[in-house]
Amino acid sequence: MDSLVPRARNETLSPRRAWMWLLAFLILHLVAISRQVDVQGVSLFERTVRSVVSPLQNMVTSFADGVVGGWNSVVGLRSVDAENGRLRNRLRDAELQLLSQRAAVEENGRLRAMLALKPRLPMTTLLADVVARNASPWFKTISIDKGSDQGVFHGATVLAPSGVLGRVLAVSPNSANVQLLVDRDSGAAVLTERGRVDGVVSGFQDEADGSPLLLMKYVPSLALVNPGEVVVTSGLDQLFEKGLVVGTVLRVAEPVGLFKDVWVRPSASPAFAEQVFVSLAPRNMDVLPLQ
Amino acid sequence: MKANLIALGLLVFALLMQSALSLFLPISAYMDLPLVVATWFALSRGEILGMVGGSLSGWLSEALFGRGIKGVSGLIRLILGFALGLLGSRFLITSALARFSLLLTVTVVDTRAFEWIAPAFGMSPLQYSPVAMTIRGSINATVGLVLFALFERPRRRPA
Repeated sequence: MDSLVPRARNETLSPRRAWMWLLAFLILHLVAISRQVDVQGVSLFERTVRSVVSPLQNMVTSFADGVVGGWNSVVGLRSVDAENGRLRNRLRDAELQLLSQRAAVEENGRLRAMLALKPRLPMTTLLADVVARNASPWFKTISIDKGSDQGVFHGATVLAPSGVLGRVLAVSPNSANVQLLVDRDSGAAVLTERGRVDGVVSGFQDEADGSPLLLMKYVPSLALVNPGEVVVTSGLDQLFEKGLVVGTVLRVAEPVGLFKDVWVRPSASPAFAEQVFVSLAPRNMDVLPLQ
Repeated sequence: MKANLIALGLLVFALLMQSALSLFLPISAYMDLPLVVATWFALSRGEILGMVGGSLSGWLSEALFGRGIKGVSGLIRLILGFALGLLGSRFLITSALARFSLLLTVTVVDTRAFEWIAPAFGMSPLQYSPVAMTIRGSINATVGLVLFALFERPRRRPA
């Protein structure tokens, strides 16, 4: 078996010394791990690593972005002429539609003012770029390029245009780690938009194709929930503002005892999120300082 | 010393590449570049540096992309680094098949050990099905084969 050739050792390290080193390192690790138990917030080590690595991470991501963007531009040039023609036609149609819709928008504005409706998004937000996505094999997290220096705080809601993505779990000055709603340890109080049925969603992996889903638990077995129904945050958990879109009901399990499980397809896909909105100071909640 | 610093630099670079690739290649979620580099580090540099490399790759990955208590992956990779260092200091593992099997085993052990230990620290990591685990291990092993060949490419010497 020539693939496993005994090696003559150049730097000799006696087996006993090697095992002693292992023991020393093991003790060091166990101390480092146990010191984190019952400590809230972000450790000094984590903050230092994030502060040092996040500028490099941004640089590498921007470079890779540039390379991919450049390549796409070169490839895209081939079809740009045909697309140009198509877009001109669409623009003409859109201009016609715009004229007819402008009146509707003005009317809508007047009615909105009369009813004193609040803006659709119940919080002020900040736009952030995603610099890493699901880079850990075990957790569903993303990293964003905005941190405490820009006003991001621990627990801030992170949104994609189509719905809730997750919440900020760790913040350093210029970056933050976001726990996605599809992570197994995440949780959000939700309700179905039509039936107003309460429940709690957390991350779940589809056993058929491994795609990330949400499992809505604690749904009373007599409650009426139909596939296709929109699920929104209920705000009862004090983590997410009320009324943010979470997803749509995919299927409803047969009731077991008092409750039944409901599978929800998340409306915001982390796989395609490039830019996200991060809530700044929430309107109806007290902001807890990070530490 | 210089070779060790280069190897350490490679480890940090692997981490950065992992985060950059995650944006463009969804399949890179199955890949673990820091683990592959730490494996090579341990096999080529022995027990002590194997432990340091393994431990660093675990800690840095967790600090950047993990949540909850940090260091569990570092602890697992510390032991893996030691075992691989021990193996690497006694045998030259040269054939593609042996390397592939080794990288596959390392990936499976690392993943399963984390899935097993992490709940004790209040974390619920993703559980890989046997199929997903095989895919993950095979992708890692293939990437590892390419990277190992790249790292060990003979340098041209002046005539």
